Amino acid sequence: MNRLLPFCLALCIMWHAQGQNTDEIDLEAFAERLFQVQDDDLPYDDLYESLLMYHTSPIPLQRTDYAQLASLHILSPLQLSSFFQYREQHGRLLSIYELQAIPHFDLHTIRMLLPFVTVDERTDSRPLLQRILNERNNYLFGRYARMLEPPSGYQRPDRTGYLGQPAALYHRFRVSHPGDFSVGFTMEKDPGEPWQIQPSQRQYGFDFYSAHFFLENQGRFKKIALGDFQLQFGQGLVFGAGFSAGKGAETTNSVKRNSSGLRPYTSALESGFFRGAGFTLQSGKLETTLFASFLRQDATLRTDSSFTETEAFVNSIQATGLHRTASELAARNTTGETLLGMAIRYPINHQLVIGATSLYSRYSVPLLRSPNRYNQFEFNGQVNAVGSVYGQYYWQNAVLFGEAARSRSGGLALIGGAVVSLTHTLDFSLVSRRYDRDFHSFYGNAFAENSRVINEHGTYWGLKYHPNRRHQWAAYFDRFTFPWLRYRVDAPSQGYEWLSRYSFFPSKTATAYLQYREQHKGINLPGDHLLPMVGMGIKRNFVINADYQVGRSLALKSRVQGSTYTLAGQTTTGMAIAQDITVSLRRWRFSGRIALFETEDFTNAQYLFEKDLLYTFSVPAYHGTGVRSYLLAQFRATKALTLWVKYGRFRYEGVESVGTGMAKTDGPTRSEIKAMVRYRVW
Amino acid sequence: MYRLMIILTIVPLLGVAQDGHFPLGARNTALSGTRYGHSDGWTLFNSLGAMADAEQTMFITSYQNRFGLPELQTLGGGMLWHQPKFNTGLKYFKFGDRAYNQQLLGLSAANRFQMVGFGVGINLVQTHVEHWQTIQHFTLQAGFQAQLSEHITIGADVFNIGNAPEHPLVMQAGCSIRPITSTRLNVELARSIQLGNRLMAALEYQLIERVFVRTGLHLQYARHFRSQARSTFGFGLLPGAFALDYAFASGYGLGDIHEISLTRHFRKK
Repeated sequence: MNRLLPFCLALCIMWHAQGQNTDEIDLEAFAERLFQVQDDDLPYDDLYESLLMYHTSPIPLQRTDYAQLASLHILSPLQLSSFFQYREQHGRLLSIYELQAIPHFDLHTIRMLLPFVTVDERTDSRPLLQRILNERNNYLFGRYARMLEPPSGYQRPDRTGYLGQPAALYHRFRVSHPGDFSVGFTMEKDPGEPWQIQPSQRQYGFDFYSAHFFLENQGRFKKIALGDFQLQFGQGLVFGAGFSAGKGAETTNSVKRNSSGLRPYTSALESGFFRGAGFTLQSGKLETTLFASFLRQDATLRTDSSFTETEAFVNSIQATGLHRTASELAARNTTGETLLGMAIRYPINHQLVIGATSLYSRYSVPLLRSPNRYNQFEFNGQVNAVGSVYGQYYWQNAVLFGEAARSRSGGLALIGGAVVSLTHTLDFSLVSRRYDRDFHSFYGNAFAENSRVINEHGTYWGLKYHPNRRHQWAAYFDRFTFPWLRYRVDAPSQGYEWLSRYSFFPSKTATAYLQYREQHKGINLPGDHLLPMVGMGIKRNFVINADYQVGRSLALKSRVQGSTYTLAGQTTTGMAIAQDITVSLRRWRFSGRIALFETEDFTNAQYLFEKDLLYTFSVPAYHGTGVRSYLLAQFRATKALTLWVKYGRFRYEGVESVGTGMAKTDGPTRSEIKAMVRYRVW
Repeated sequence: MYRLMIILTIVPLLGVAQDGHFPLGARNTALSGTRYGHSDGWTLFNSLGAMADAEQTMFITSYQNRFGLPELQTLGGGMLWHQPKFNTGLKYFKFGDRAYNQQLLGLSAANRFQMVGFGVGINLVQTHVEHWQTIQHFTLQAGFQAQLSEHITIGADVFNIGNAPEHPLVMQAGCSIRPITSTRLNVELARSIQLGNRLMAALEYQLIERVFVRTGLHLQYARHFRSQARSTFGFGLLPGAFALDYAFASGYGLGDIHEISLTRHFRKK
């Protein structure tokens, strides 16, 4: 009875939250909480795709461990220990609603957690094929998008422009069951890429294909992956795929990476994954992951008599995945990358986990960068090897973590930190990192100010105070130095950044927040100087945002944001105002936005999350002066079939064309149309 | 002579690294210079208002290694004498070596009136440059600390009250929040005419009984230079009648600072 009462209460309270289908959960709102908005150097697509993979492979709460549950960055160390204590005392969770009965779990937290967890875990002894054919979680997606004003790149008759059609196509199928299997494929063509069959370039129709066959819990094999997959171990110094928000408005729980291990890869991003076979073998407590991968990368092949006249080399590996022009197509899949890797994970007890990783990679042709002062410690050559040891320790209401890695060059990378629930309303995090200028890790993605794990020292402090369910205040301060030069920074440099966000939840249907961020970062001063001069660029951003729901069918969102950038005494500004509306009418849902923006330069471009087709993510840069508007319609035709259409338009003031080079379009407007269909096949 | 050259070159660089009022103690360093809300022996140097709250007689000593340069070593110590009516203290501080050094000898007294602690002190500061000159100045310092509630303490201090241009006036003020016994959060602001504003924030957390961990950040706004951020870390151990503190500070252009301090308590009988 003592268990039934909170369960019933929770059921009533959460009835409202349950009203929405988890497939249609507001990933936009979730992403906005975690990712630092208004920044131009974040791989949003990558972050979002990782988040999406968590959403489509929810964590089984019955079997999950600390590391896996913490990997969502939603729960504080105190909530994590409460969860496991509760599960130990009460056994299996009867339903997802039982989360409400766990001490320190509030409704706000549970709502965020729901799309990414499940209690549905079956032990099904039927053959795999039958299990797959009876799985309801199977969907086929088709997506189409194109810009309505043709960019100049499509209008060149001499084959110097884009060679393909302006439409972007994307198709995906996936059938999966958490903890059991995942099978799927993805095919994709970006705008301007030709749909062609060219065996000489290994292109058969679409530009990019990806497929995976992934099994879990097959006897001693904890995981088996064939096709495309990703790895995340330790703090991401060697294997850093997966969902890693880093610095954002979630200031404490998101700083630690988690060893989620081997995962299927379902994204359409054309780099940052492995292609081959891998498995995780469990012997006693020890989990050993081994894999082999061969992936073709894009790079322009060159020869140079100063190096060697006959052997080809490449200057850089291109990770954009775009193959629209003759030169981009010539660089397509020219360089093979062979990878062999191993990772071990050993949980000594419930509290302490240790592990080690290693990765050997070899390019089929040497990578020799164009020599520059800033890149002289970057990787050059054909073979790289990198290895690390890592550990994490859960102690009372704190988690301590760290990883140390060394690459073949001798460069070291160290990271260590802690997340502590100081009181039940106050969380604190600390991360210190030290990445050498000659540390080379191609698949690393650890906590950093830079987008890569190289040439950075720094310390980060985060605080989150949530005195009650109505108020929350979060802040962080990050101090960083770059011991060697960087692109457009011709001296060792330093900087710091801080953010403060106050969130107010006046009712279940309304949320508002106020955010301010200030970043001081070294950058070359503009103008001609005999010697390059590095100055301090100061960027200040603010956001005021309110989301509110009127009844069950109308939701509104108002947002004002702005920024200033100061360098060498010159200050430029930018700002945007946006109003969103979402109306739900039976099988229809309409979302629209009108936004007004005015920015003096691209540094002050305003980045605003937009609602988009299901499972796509849009954070366009609003820059210049103009109006952005869009309308998104969703129609649930049958239980198995849902359709989406989006029309979006930028109208700029006082310009005759938009964009430059091949992306240039005539006229002051730029608009796009997107459509998508989702169909449950069986 | 060459050492003198080095010192004279480096000392101006230390302008942003020096706090201008002879702070000392690894706990204070690890908390990035924040000082209110606790009453250890190092209040003798750092906060005379907080010194009024000391309830034991203490001997203190500290050694600071700045950037690994022997010419910039700092050491100091003193005695805080607890009496039922008021606390008094004697302190000594030395920075530098034979070629260039600064020494300080100070006397302080502090008392608590209801929830407010007051303290005043007088210091004799001697600056010596080999083969050049030795000058001495008297400076005054004063401070207060008030416990507003069980969880919040505020404080303020004024250093270098006097007319010596070599020792410009420094003021510091801030608050300390202690939501629960094991956690302390400090936010303080310091200001001197020469150095601009310094903002400091720090956290002290009692890991287990007799073991503390600390971290802090220090933001130095500079009018004519770029602003600088520094980080500090440290721990404290309380074995018996002793307190051993260690601090590490990074983010200075010249390198890192390490400091180790020892306190001997004499508990009331």
